[in-house]
Amino acid sequence: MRVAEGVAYAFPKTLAEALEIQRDGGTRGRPLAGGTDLMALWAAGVPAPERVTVLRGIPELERIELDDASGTAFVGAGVTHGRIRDHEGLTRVAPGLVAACGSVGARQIQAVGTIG
Amino acid sequence: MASVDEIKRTWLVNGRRTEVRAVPGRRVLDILWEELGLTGTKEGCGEGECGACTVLLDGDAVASCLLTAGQVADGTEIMTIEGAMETELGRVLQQAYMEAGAVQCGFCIPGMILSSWALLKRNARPTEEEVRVALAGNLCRCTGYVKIVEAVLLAAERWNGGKGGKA
Repeated sequence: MRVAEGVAYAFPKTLAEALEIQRDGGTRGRPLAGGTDLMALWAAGVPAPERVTVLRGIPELERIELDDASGTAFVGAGVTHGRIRDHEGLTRVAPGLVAACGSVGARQIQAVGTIG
Repeated sequence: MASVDEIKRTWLVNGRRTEVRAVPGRRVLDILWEELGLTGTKEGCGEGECGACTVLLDGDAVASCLLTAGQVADGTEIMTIEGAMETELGRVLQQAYMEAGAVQCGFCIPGMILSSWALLKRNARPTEEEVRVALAGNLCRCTGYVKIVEAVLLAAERWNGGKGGKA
């Protein structure tokens, strides 16, 4: 059996559902978003957990909001490096973050990896 | 151990609606090989470093060895090297790779072509630097990359006379 095939997945659709799952020790799983770090760890021999909670595709975690007036931005934990790298507004407000996200791994990692 | 239930997903694999049943932790790479018979995608390192397993997920190059079925939503478009070869851009890239002498052992080439495809689809006239950035996640032990970069620049020139367009 390969890497994560024995892992049970939970698929919350909203942040509230995810929190509900994580609140209870009986259902709580390792949070899994892009999984680019976790899968590499498991492939390298670190034991995979019994359960993961998938955080990909939860709208509240994938928001980017800019406030140009104050020069601030809200970036959800589930936003990928690639979306930040290509985001024109963020280039104005947070150029360091944009540059950092464009230098994580390579394109293949940036497309699914999240900032967490 | 918690029980692991099979999931059912419908993906658009190389333009075809494809129903997949798998345990959620199954790697997309293994599903392509063992369920769908798409063996053009290669496994090199299995750790997301080498890019041999690159496929396009909704147009973005990703490492299919790091991605599990449970992370790929219904309706997602997946393009493998087999699908790329059904496109005009894929054929232009294939010809350019051959003419530039960019292929030696060939193991990295499916991933290289898909990363090139993703680049040219978005940026029909990339600079050499942009090509190098787009291919940075695809390792080649044979060529030294010079001819691969030349091949992508040649393909860009040829693809609709440098104007790009529908792939």
